[in-house]
Amino acid sequence: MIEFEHVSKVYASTVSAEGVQALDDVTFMIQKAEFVFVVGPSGAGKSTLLRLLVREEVPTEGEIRVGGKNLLRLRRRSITRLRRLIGVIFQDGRLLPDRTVFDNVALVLRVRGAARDDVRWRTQQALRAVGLLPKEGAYPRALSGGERQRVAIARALVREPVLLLADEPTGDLDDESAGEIMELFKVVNTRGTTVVVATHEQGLAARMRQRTIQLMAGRVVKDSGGAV
Amino acid sequence: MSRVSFLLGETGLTIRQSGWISVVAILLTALSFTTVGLFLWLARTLGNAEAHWRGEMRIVAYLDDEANAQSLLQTVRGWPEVREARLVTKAEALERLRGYLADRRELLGSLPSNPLPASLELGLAADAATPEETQALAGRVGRLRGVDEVQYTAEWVERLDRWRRVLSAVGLGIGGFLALAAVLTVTTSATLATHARRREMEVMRLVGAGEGLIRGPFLLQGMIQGIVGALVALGCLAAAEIVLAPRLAPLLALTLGLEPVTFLSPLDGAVLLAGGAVLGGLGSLLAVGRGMRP
Ligand SMILES: Nc1ncnc2c1ncn2[C@@H]1O[C@H](COP(=O)(O)OP(=O)(O)OP(=O)(O)O)[C@@H](O)[C@H]1O
Ligand SMILES: [Mg+2]
Repeated sequence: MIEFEHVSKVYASTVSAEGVQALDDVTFMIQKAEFVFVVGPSGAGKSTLLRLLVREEVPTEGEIRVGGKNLLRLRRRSITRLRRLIGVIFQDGRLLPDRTVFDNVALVLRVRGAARDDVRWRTQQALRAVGLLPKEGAYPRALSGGERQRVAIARALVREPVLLLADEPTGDLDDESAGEIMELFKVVNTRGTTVVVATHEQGLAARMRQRTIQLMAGRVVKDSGGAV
Repeated sequence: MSRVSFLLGETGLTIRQSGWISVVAILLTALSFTTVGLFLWLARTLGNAEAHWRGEMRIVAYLDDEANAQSLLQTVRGWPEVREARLVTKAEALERLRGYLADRRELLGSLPSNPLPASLELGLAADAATPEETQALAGRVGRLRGVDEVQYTAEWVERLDRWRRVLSAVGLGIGGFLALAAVLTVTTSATLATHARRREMEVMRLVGAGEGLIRGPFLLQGMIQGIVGALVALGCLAAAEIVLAPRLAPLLALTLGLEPVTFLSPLDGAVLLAGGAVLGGLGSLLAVGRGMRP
């Protein structure tokens, strides 16, 4: 499903002339329907790794394949099509401020031209799953941090993605809510979705007893399974 | 279908966000179209007057009393520039004069003999009804034996023509200038809007929205601004017609012998609306068109 081959990412930086090395010669492979945690301290490169997967960023070196397709070779239309198969929960949420909770979640269905009834039904399903159906008419600014995060989760799940990328999905949630969300991810995973969760909470990953790729300063320092 | 309604919804959002600058764009479009409309109306009125007078353009050749009127008539009828030729005999001329004088006919009773000359009235073929042709033809008629004097009117029709051209040029010039301003305002408004929504557009891209869905709304917004501007212009022109037409009608009838033409035909309206759409579309295309693929 996902292949990283000697991937490095250097960001241009205002701090140092040679830039910031966010990822350094990263190689791993994730099979279809795997559930993988990417862990590491702040600044280790977790978000960068996920951003490369949706082609929000391009690698400085190396190759990335998703579903057998080399991301660097894709044309814009193919990238759009690929993104429709991926559900992303961004670390910073990225909800659209001038749309209601409902519209934020429905957006990802509408952009691929889903029928109105279908949009209504699926969006409400997804909001119910994260416990936010009562707030479907609210605007993001009127939500708590945790609620916003749950909207972002609903948005990522509503399309029943082939690949779910979650960047600190439970950072703003209490342990109980976080546990519920993880259970939700597990259900999605058993239905065949490949799940990649980035988090700095080692404990969370350990509790879930799933494969864990550990990053440190941009390098893979440990991979608890999977073919490298 | 659902994608279309989504696109329209997005466009509505874009319009609501852009606020006063889209009002400015609409007003400039309206101003431009109203200006062009008014000048074109003036030009068209003059054009009608000109056509009217060209149709009336005649050469009158007065014959001396010895002239062989019938053979002259045959001669001029043989010329291609002459659409029609008519002989007005001395008797007919007197009869006409009687008609004009109406109740003061007794003035004519005392005349010893008919003092009026016979004349040939020539109507010109449509393609010969230009001032130059008329003048040339009048010259030829004047050189015929038996023709005493030639009269024709052409010069001021020419002047009318010049005015019409000047008015069209001025109208199109000012209108074009304002249209350019309108296009640039639409461009500015779309650029500002894309900047304000840059983050949002990026998120939409990341969740798999195609470029058409992301930029389409700006294009549609521009076109809608243009069309609304055109509608406002149509309203202004219609109002102008209602206010001005009754006042201008007597003046026009007096000076040009014309009914005023109506300002706007349905076709004009359609052209104006299409023009608005094109103008607005062009404006936003300048802002968001770069790198856009169908
Ligand atoms: N757009 C950017 N421009 C420059 N440097 C960046 C950019 N994004 C990230 N970096 C740098 O790259 C490194 C890795 O960042 P990244 O966001 O991937 O870390 P992370 O593991 O997600 O950290 P966190 O747990 O705090 O979210 C950091 O040193 C960061 O400063
Ligand atoms: Mg991060």
